[in-house]
Amino acid sequence: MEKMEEKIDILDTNVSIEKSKDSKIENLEVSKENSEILAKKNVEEMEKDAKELDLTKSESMLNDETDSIGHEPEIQEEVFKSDGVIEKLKSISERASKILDDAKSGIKKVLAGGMAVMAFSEAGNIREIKAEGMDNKQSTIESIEKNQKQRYVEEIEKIRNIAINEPNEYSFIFAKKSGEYIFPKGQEGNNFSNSFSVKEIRKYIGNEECSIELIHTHPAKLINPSDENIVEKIRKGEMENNLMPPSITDISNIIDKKNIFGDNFSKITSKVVEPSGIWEYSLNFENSQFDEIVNEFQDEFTTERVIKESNLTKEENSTLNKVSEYINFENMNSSVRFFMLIGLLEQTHIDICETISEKLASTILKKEEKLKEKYPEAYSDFKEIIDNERRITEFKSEGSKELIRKNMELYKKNGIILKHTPFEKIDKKTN
Amino acid sequence: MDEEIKKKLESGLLYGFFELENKDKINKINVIKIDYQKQIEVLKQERDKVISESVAFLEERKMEEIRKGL
Repeated sequence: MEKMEEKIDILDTNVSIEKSKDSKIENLEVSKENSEILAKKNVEEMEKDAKELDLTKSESMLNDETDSIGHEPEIQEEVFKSDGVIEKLKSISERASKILDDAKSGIKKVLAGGMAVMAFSEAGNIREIKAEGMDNKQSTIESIEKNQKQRYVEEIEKIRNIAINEPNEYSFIFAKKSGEYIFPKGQEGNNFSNSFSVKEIRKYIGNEECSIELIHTHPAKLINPSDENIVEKIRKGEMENNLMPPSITDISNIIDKKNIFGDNFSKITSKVVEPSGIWEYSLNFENSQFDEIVNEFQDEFTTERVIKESNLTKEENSTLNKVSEYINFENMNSSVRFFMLIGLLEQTHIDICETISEKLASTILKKEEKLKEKYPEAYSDFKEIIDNERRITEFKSEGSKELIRKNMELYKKNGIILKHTPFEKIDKKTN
Repeated sequence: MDEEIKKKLESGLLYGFFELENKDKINKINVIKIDYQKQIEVLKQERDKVISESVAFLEERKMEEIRKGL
């Protein structure tokens, strides 16, 4: 195992792990289609596409086409030079490289900006790290002299445009102090899914008179990822409204914030902006155990806890550590970590790895069973919400709309209040 | 892993979140890829136009030379 050569880092190296000759490991690729594998496959295809526009390739195509005309090479070169042909091809090649870099960086962000649903100790650290790297522009706030409502609508409209045009989710903080909105100056948002830094939030709500709105987008392009004309259809008003409500991850995140900010949580309003309107979501767990099960779920399934409770032998622990070295776990949440790890362990077909994976699996199952027994109704609802969300393939299909409706009922039953205001109503209110 | 354990695992909450995360990322990656392909297609057309214009220009010039030669 010591001779394994490559660490799994999707965008930089191969996913498969090369084995040493004496190892039984054939190929440690995770068998099921997952985002990491898909990212690697797509990046390879995209690199191939961009290579087609490489200057050398384009020059060779140009020469193939023009050589047969019969000019002297010097004349041909002179024509290319005076017409700026090579410069034009060079510019195309450079733009292709830039588009490739942007797409690769977008994919990296998607892979890194996971849904921070697990224990806050883990998710929080990641968020803090991200916050450090964030554009500092959000730290300066600007007082607004214009009509407050109008300015608010203008800011929301900007965010709506981001929801329509950008494939990733963007997050924003609006603050309200003494009845007046203040918006971060030069606000660009950060495109990590719903990842507000605790430090950033504290900066605002630490002030007695200040309340905040945490807003993130649900991108229109997810209404139907395979429809490349979706943005055009929305712009032309040819799309009916497709509701994209807060996800179970969004709900888990505000439950998390309720725990962190305690009494100050009442100063926080959470919103999702999507092409059809704004969702406001809040919590009232007086008659529900939903927050308890979500909290316990988050506490119980930390990587450290599951591994510790799996009672691995010294040898098993050391093997697990070695296998873990070959995946870049840094930005994965616990659920992805566990199932990537279990997948890898299983595919080694080495007895000790299979024993470890069974031990981890059995710890997870025991924990699930415990939750089910303790909160039978909330567990069943929690699971149904997740399962329904998994079955939503395209927001525009009738089946998906029905699943969204069912989830909204389940949220309501469990003390999660969702309110959707369509953009037409917001526009009317302001006009 | 025992099939029974695997089945139970896949029907749990944790696996549900794993699948949600995966689905979300797969959708976003696909959207980025579709956008990328659209932009690359535009550039390919631009490149083909540059090449075909050069070919046309050189052909025209060759014809001119031939005409002058006659």
